[in-house]
Amino acid sequence: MTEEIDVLMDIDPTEMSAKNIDDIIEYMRKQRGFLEKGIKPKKAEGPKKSIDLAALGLSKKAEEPPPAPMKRRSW
Amino acid sequence: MDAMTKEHSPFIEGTNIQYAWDSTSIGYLKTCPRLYQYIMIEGWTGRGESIHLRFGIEYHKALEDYDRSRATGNEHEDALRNTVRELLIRTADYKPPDDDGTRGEKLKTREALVRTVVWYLDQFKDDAAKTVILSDGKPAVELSFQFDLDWGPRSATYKEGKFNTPAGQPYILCGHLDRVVEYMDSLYVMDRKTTTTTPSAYYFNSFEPNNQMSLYTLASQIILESPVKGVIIDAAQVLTDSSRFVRGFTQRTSEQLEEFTRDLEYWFNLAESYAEANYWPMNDTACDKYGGCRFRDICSKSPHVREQFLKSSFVKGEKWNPLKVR
Repeated sequence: MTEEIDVLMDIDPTEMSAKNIDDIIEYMRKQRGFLEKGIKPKKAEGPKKSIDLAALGLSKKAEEPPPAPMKRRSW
Repeated sequence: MDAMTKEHSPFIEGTNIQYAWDSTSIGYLKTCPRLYQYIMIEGWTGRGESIHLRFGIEYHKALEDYDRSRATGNEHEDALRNTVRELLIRTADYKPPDDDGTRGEKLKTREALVRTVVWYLDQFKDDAAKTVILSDGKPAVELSFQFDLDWGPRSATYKEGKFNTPAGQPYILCGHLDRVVEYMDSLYVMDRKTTTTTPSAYYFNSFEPNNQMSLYTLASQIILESPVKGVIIDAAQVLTDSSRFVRGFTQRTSEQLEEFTRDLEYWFNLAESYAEANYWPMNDTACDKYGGCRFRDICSKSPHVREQFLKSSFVKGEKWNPLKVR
């Protein structure tokens, strides 16, 4: 749906057919309908990219064991 | 400067004395004389401001097209279709907001513009507020107004015992009204606004008192020669995937309008004094208003380096001209 509107909006407006205009209006109305029903408009699903955290210097080091609990001294 | 530009300058020739005022320029002056200087006298505009301006202009033009179409008897669907077509044609060159722009700028996309127009017009297709038809048969839509006040700049009016402007230049109040409507047996100006903030009670309270709404009420009473009650404000909030609309009202009594006009005399005298001194002082109590003044970072610098910072963050574009015909 998102790609569809992108394609429609990219058409040269002087060459748009009446149907193209109606489709754009219809798309906008559907978006409003989704919103009123509490449905979040679906985002375009592109290929999932995996992010190399290590390359970004963000990879977590192997978790170190938690420090031993402090012993309470008795006075 | 060509003849046309000279003819339409809101300033008295060869001076910084402004004689033609709209609500925008009055607002700058009232908010902060330095803000007025940067925008009206020197013509600085922010790099990102053009997207807000373009979005607003196109939104208003689209609603104007629709109102005109409906006033000539077209049905909602036909008027909407034509409006969207024209909007798409006009915005074919619409540049997407910069990636490094503010949140507000990023929301002002072409798709958001079309969505906001379609949703607004659908929501108000059976609006109780009806466009007034003027005596010449034309709909009262996008009405430009311009009227003289009965006084003019002091120094520009008389010099060596005579007017130094062609006919003794009076002050002029000018501007544009989006639409005049009849609503519940009363006349109102309708002003459409786009915002990226929530149009809450706090938002609408900012219009009472408000320079723009007082001027619009005054102007509409003069144009229509009728007791226009005030302004209906239709605020459109532009969000990431949606737009929402809230309607507010603001009214003015004749005493309030008289006071507004009387106050203008003092404000214009002040503007003239600044122009004569070639100095526009900073109002440092206004810097944090409306989310922070756009020139705050400039004014926070030492005076001798401000020009450099202005040049790096702002551009000198076309100056705001209240006399410019839309």
